[in-house]
Amino acid sequence: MQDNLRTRMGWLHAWVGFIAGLLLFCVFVTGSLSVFDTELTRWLQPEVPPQAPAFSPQVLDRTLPTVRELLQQGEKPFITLPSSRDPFVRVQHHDGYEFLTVPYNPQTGEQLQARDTAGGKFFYDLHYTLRTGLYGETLIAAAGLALLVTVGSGIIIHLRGLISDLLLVRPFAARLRAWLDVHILASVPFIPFVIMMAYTGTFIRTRTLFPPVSYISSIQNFVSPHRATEAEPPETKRDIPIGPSLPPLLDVAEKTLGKGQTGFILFLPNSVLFSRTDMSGPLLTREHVDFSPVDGHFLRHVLLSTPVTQTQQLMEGIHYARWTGTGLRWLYFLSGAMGAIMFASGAIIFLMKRRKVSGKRVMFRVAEGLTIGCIPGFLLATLAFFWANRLLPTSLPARHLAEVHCFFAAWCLSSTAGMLWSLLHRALPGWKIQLSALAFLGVLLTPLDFLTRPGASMLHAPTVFAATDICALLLGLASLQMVRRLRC
Amino acid sequence: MLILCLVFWLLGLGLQAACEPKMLRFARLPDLTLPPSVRWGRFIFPLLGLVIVFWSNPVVAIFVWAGTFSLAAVIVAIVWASLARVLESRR
Repeated sequence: MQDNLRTRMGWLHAWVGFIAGLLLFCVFVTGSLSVFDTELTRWLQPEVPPQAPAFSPQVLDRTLPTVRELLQQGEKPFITLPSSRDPFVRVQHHDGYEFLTVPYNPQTGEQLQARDTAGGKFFYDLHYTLRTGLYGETLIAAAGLALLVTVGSGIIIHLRGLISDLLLVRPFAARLRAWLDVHILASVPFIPFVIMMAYTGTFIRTRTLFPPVSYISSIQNFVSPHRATEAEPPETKRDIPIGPSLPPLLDVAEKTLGKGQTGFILFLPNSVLFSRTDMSGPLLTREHVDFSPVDGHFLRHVLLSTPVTQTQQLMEGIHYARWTGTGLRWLYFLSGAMGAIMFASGAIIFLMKRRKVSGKRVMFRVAEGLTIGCIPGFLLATLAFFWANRLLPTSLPARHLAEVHCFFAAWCLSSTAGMLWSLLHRALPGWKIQLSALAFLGVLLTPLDFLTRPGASMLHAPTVFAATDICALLLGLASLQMVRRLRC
Repeated sequence: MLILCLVFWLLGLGLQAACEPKMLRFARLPDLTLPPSVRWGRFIFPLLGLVIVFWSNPVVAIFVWAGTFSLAAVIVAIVWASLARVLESRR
């Protein structure tokens, strides 16, 4: 009976895991990077120095011309206040995909001449929408459910050896055995994290799977989402006065939110919102104090505290991990990276087990081509994004889009190449070339950083720059080792 | 706090590896037959880690405790695999 159950669960684990796993690999990689999105934005704007002087609230008023300009363009700009993660004042707005930022000196209010970049938030958007809006959100929420099924079936399969095999890794054993050990090591100790992230992530996006309206009308909206917006009149540019000075409003807001608890100031046509920082605690309350944009009089204090909203806030707080310290954020990053290794090793095992019997079938070749495109191909595109950030001319118009295009061009190229090699029954050279390119980009990112960052020094304190370079270096070295061990 | 919790997990999981016959066979080590007081360390060290993280910051305690367990498991597994490789090459 139990063997029968294990066999069935093995089938479920393999197929659901492989199909959803290729997508979930990309989700876990981007999720891990999103843990450090603010820090990555600093790496991607090397003109902004690693350290900044102390914050003076008076500088907020010096950002207002930029805010006014963005409001006139119909954007919803906001000012982020300095924090331990990012010591600069930034004016930001969402362009539909990323948060574009303009940094300011937190003491003098002088605008820093930093390059236009998609920033670390590029990975955040990719993580939960795949840059396709509601379609991507729904797909990823469904993949989250598939992840829960895969984890559940995996636990049942591995229940017998859960404790005895927990610490067992045999990297020099036969290749299938070694990959199985890697898969188990990347899965079993990280089960609490994976379940937590899968559950909270699916919970946050549950509206896409279980819409509050009927399925028929939501499918109609899904098929033609722009129908409603077509009827809307075009937005006219309005002159929106930002009358009041911000520092006195900040003082008033902090009397409610607490000293140093204001995270950002959001400008809407009818109000100015002083919102609580996401770093204040595990509940992502987004509590805010609102003022009039005309004369600055107090409008309202908003804090949603019903049990349902608090549950939502807790789920978001746990998933986004913005309230945690650096150490815990590194644990999130590491756990996410191990999750990606779990999917990568699982996909490789899936292919290895079927290569003898089905290796020559077209579907197998397609599956291997997709795996090459999704695993080394996606990592290659990620590193290409970092390279593009440093190599594209800083004066390029719509530069942040050019970075994004480089990412997708690299991904498309490597996926197409991987698929072609696989269909031509030459998958192994396909793996080797992609991994070699990955090693090249990863290992040489550090020299690139030193050559293209103003004021770079070998002796600076550990910063976001050093951490990013070291992670890329480790990825490059791991790829190099895999190329070395792959036999032609 | 995080480092201390990690150290406790390393000790606990290290002892677990040393008490597990399958791990000993893999490293081709003789049965260590540790005294019961030492074997209890497998359970005591993780509990000590939990107490310390709760005492230090209850809000993040469970996250840090679970996260350091995962990290410690990876470290112990890699160190054990390296040890097995070294012992094998010496024979």
